[in-house]
Amino acid sequence: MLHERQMKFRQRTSEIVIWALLIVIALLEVFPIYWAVMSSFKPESEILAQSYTPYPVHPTLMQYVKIFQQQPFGRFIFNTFVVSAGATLLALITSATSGYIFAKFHFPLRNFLFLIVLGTIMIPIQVYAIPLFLFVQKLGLINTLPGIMIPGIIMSTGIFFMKQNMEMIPNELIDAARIDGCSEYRIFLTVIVPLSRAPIIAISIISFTVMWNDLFWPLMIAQTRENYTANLGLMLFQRVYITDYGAQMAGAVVVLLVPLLLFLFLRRYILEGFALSGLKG
Amino acid sequence: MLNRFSVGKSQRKRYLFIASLLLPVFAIFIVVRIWPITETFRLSFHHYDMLRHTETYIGLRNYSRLFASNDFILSLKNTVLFAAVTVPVNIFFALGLAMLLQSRKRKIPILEAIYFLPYMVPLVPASIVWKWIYSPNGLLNRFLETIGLSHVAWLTGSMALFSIMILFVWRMNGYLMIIFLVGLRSIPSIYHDAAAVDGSNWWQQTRFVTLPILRPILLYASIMATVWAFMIFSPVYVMSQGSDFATGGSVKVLSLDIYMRAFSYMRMDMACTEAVILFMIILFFTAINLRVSRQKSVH
Repeated sequence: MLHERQMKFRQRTSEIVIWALLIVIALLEVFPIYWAVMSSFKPESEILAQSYTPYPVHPTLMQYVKIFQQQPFGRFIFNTFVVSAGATLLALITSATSGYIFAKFHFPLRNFLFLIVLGTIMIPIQVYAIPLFLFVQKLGLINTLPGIMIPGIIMSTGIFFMKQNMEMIPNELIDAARIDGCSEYRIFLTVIVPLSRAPIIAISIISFTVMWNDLFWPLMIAQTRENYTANLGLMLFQRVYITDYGAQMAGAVVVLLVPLLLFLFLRRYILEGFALSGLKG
Repeated sequence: MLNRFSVGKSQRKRYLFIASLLLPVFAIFIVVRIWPITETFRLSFHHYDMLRHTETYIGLRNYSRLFASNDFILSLKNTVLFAAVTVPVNIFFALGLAMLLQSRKRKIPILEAIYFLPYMVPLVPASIVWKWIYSPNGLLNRFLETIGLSHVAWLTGSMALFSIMILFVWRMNGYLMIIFLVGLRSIPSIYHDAAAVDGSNWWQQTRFVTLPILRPILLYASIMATVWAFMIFSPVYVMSQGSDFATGGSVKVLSLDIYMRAFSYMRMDMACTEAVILFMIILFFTAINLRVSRQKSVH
């Protein structure tokens, strides 16, 4: 009897400890984001105050007005949208077409070509950035938005992920369409693409957030403010608003808000997509 | 026999289709990936004149210069240290967190989402927020003050790299956690039930049931974590600019050194040489990961 009660007690304490742990970790994960958002609505006096309040006492949009009026921050955000969306669209097209070919067709050198794609997944941009920069320079695309887009227009993980997903589309479906007299192009556009909604969404989000996140390449390519991406804008704010942390936080919040909103609305696709890409890696 | 001609024709049509989709993609792929990678290797054996765009073959001289450079040795040391700490810590925390979540009877989507959230925050804004938290009069030091501890210079000396490690694990952990969680969920519960019937405890179940099944995912996770650690750039760049910055070479890492060689010292050839070293290191650790995982799965 006593033994059983002891067991139950122990079980319950371990339950409580695990829950406490889970919640404390959750708070730590969210805290920096919370802190940035709250601070971005504080007036200067509260940012400089000797003791911080966990939320703005006199909330203000001053910091946001400042970064959008004194700096072309709207332009930076717009540029980043153009670059991220443009690269994502091209990455989607290149991933979907080649993924389909790798998934459903046999031809000479197929495995060899696919192995090359796989081999480049693990190679970060730092490895090939310099020759690519010299090439972009030759094209005259330095300090242009297409120049910033270039490394993102192809995505090895995207090709891989598309192939994995398209392999699961039954062959009978494709053959039936062929018997009906559909051309290969129409099969691809009207059968394969609609059935690949989930990987298309997943790859779009991954590509978009990767482009949105990048600093290394835009730092090399963008040289004047009218071609800055949001991240370069934040680097600029570090110099312009050197100790004005309120303005820096407002900038950071705008830049992190976009992928965060994507996540809130497309959580299912993101978690599934990332998880799947992980499982099959 | 009868439709031999039409089969040949449709076969040709199919190859035409394959080529029309695959060739453009591979043309781009070669131009923006394969060719630049091979060029990196080629340029590392040349002296490259930035102004005249001329190249002279100089054998291994770039490499001997690189290994004699203090900046490079420091960057190499810092990067290896960064990987040596963040890879195991990242995997340990992610796996631990996934197992804690899995130990609950029901799924808790809100907690999963919260743990994943930092991964959606781009590294530059994340680093800017953390830099303020770390700053001499920042939140972290004020917190230490209120609980009666003295200030820590989070962004000075060897502490700076450690501070970046914390930020890095904070941001990357959620991704690995989700992968582990999916892996754990794919394990049929009969395995654990069977082990429990055999009288094995929690540790034995983890050691002999969970981890062996998770091996491919562990492999993927450790390769990912290794590549991330070796290509670290944004946090280091943010932390070494603006006010309250991390000083000197305390946070210098390979990708920052590559960037600086190329664009501060205008030595594209030296930058390529260092990029080759970075490539070799990543290749080496990926190979070790594959090797270890293959050896273990033989048993």
